[in-house]
Amino acid sequence: MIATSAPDSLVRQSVLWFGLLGGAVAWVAHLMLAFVIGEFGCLAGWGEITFLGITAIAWAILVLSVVTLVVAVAATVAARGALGRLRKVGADRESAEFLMARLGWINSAVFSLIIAVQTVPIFYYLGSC
Amino acid sequence: MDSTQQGEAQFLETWRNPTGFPGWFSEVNNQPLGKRFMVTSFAFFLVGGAMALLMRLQLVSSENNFLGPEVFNQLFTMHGSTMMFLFAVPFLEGLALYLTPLMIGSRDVAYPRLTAFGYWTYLFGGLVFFASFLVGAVPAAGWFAYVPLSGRPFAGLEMDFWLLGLALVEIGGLVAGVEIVATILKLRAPGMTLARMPLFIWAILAAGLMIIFAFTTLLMATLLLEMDRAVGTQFFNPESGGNILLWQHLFWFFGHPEVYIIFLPATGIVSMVVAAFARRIVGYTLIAMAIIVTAFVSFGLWVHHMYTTGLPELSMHFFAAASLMVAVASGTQFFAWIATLWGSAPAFKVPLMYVLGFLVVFLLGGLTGVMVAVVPFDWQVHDTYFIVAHLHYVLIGGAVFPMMAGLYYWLPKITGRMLDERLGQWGFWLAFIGFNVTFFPMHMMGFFGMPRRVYTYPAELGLDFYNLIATVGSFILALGFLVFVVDFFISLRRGTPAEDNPWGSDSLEWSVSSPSPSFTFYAPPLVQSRHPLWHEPDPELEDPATARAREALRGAPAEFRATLTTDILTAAPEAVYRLAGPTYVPLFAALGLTVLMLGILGGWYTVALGGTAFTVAALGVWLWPNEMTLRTLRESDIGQRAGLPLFATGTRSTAWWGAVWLLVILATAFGVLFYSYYYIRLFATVWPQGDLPLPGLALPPIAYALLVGSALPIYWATRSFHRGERSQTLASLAASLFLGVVFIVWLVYELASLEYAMQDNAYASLFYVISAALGLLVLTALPIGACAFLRMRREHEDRKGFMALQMQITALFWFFTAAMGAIVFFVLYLSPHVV
Repeated sequence: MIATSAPDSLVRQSVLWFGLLGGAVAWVAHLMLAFVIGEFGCLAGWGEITFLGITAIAWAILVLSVVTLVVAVAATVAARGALGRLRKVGADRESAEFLMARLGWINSAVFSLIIAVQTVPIFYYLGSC
Repeated sequence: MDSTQQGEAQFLETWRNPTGFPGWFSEVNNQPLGKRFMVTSFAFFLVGGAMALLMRLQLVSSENNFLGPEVFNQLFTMHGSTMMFLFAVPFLEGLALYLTPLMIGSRDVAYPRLTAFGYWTYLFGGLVFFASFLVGAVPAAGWFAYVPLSGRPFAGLEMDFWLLGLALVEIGGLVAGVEIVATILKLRAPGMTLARMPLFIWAILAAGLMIIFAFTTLLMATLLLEMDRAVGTQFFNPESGGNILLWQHLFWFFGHPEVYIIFLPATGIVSMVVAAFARRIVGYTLIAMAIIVTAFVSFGLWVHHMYTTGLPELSMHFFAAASLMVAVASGTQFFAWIATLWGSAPAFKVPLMYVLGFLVVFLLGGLTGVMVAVVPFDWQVHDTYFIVAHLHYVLIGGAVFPMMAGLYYWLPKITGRMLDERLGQWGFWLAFIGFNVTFFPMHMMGFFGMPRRVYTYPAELGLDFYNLIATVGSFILALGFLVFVVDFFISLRRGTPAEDNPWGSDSLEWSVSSPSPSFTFYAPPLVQSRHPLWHEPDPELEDPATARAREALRGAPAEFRATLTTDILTAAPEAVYRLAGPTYVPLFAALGLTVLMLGILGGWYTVALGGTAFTVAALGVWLWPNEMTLRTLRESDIGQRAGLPLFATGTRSTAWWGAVWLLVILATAFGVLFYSYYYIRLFATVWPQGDLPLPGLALPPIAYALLVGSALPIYWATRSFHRGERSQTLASLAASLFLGVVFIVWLVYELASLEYAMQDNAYASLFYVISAALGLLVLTALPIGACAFLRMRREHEDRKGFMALQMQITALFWFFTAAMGAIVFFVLYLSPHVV
């Protein structure tokens, strides 16, 4: 027997994939860009440029953190919503869709947490490198 | 003999593994090759362990001169390299290659010839690596080979042995990774959705994907370092604009995931053993989640190996945060195992004992891992024995103990004989006690300031007693492993014959006889639950199309080896897939590659060229379709009987997926080159360095436009092919080939007319190497396109499926080449004018 799929109208494949990978991709973007900004921004003297007492580097990383966190949380919400809809229609719990939705919301929630934790250090370096 | 019996006899003959000495070299079946990977890597493990014992004897007392500094450096380099490259990963790959088809209900792995090629390159690489002892040029720059210590001024021929030997091993590892991923994605039994995969399969799928990215990075790094040494490029030479930290970035971008490439399959073993002994698994989805998160996050931790290299503090703290968070994923798995065992009243047999040992040891290793993720703490202990203790708690606790659990658990299936329980218990307790006696004192040694990677220590440190204890412990640990070896050989000769399912486990490998037959499953199994052996499938619920396909493959086809391919997500049958039979070609390809490496090693460039030609010829024979095979396939009615195609195309085809993974590897390789370019660029005050001229913008845009534009005729060719317009297809293919050739001619002219040499500085090295890499890519795309062109000219109606696949793969490769051309043009020609 092949596991039953949920009706397309209820859970779109794109939503499932976004839910599954959105958080992970957001985390990769956050870490890599924060690394590049931190490493080379300091080298290039962005630490000297300030706005409201906060360096350009810190601003850039704060904006980056907000954007990536929003993406990761959106993926979590999307996956959670998909899971709810699948449960409602009684989809097979061992179907690929169910697994993607369930893995997606847990994964993206964990990656949201990781992004949030990775943002903490910048609050100790608001005025310098 | 009636026709059914005849068919069965032919089926068994088709799947019979070749016998005798020559047959040993032509084997491609996953089971003997998986066993060879394991046996070879275990032999390396014993050698690496013997080196460790010698080092412990050197350190048994202060200011000892048993080995001396030179030999000690050689031994700690060879010990680390052997354990990490020649034992841990290949052993787990061997186990995965053996078990994957059994666990997912397939008859073999996706690319049997590639398995053989991987094994031979691994074996030859290991032999080249150890040949350094024969010529007295033993590597001594550590398993991490930091430059400048591994650079030409400080290391001679010995470093070439390390780099070239390991390059072969890495290729072997890389192809095994691709093999595992493709097999899991495409060859699962009907009904085995992703949600029904055994947790070991989840773990090795993640590890296989990680291998593809991590090993490619290391392979590129070793090639760049070898080029610095052999042809004088300047990637890692600060005096000429290179950067020594670039090596550390590249090495640890591989090195940290490497730890998880070893650890994740080990956790897969633990999950399987725990589930078998507890008769349940708690938190399946959470464990799968933890595997995925760990696989991702492990690529974001490499900088925590570089806290003491002077990176900006801010950057380090991002990585510290990520390093701390990986404990969330590991902790999730840990609690799931404890919850599974809690109240389950398991039998404390040897496999479970090793798992319990793992839980204790890895917990301690994990906790010290959290400690060293904290930057100031790491600064204190970074170069001390605290790190030696931590890494052994993680690697032996996190990997070797689960491997031992896996061996005691699965050897009955592999050899058909049970191991002795009493000897096993002795071996476990000796290994567990010996391990802790050896490595626990090292935490204290580290705190008291004993430096690692140094051949001795002064008596004033007062560490003689701790070192004596550690040395005694190391011999107890070795005795534990020796007991296993003795147990293994005794079981082979006199062991109790194993039942099909001696542990009462839930996964498919236990449904076949012990030892498993070479075809693994006489008929493709049906999976309707996560625990197929605990919940008998109900044929009433089986979809008729699936039932037809499974029935058609019952003891069939008899003329050639074949298995079912299924959909990646739902595991619905998609095609009957012919598997390759015994052949010497992979051996020849690996031999050619080894000759190439030996040629470079000895500076015999004609020999190296010969090796290259031999490899290319072997690959040509490998890839060129055999007419007899095609005829057999055309004449077979298995597809009709199964209601499935014999020639699948696109995402249904394993060959298409093979091409995709090859492109992922190539994209990663180019990514390493681009990263190196910008890393060096960002630290350079002037770019191009050394007042070299900026790249010209007269001819290059035209040449690159031609290369990028060559994708357009390929696109037209695929469209014409689908419309059945043969002459337009041929004309479009010819146009693409022509544009590719024009680009190559221009590239040769461009590089020949540059006013500087690649040895001048790091910028020049990068310019030449990235250009040459693109040239090689185009030179690979050309024969692929030429093959499609030639075969299209001889096209027969009944080969449509085969040609469609060839066109798809040609287009895929060519589009990738064009895209790389565009990126290379931006990086080399445009970006220096902009930034």
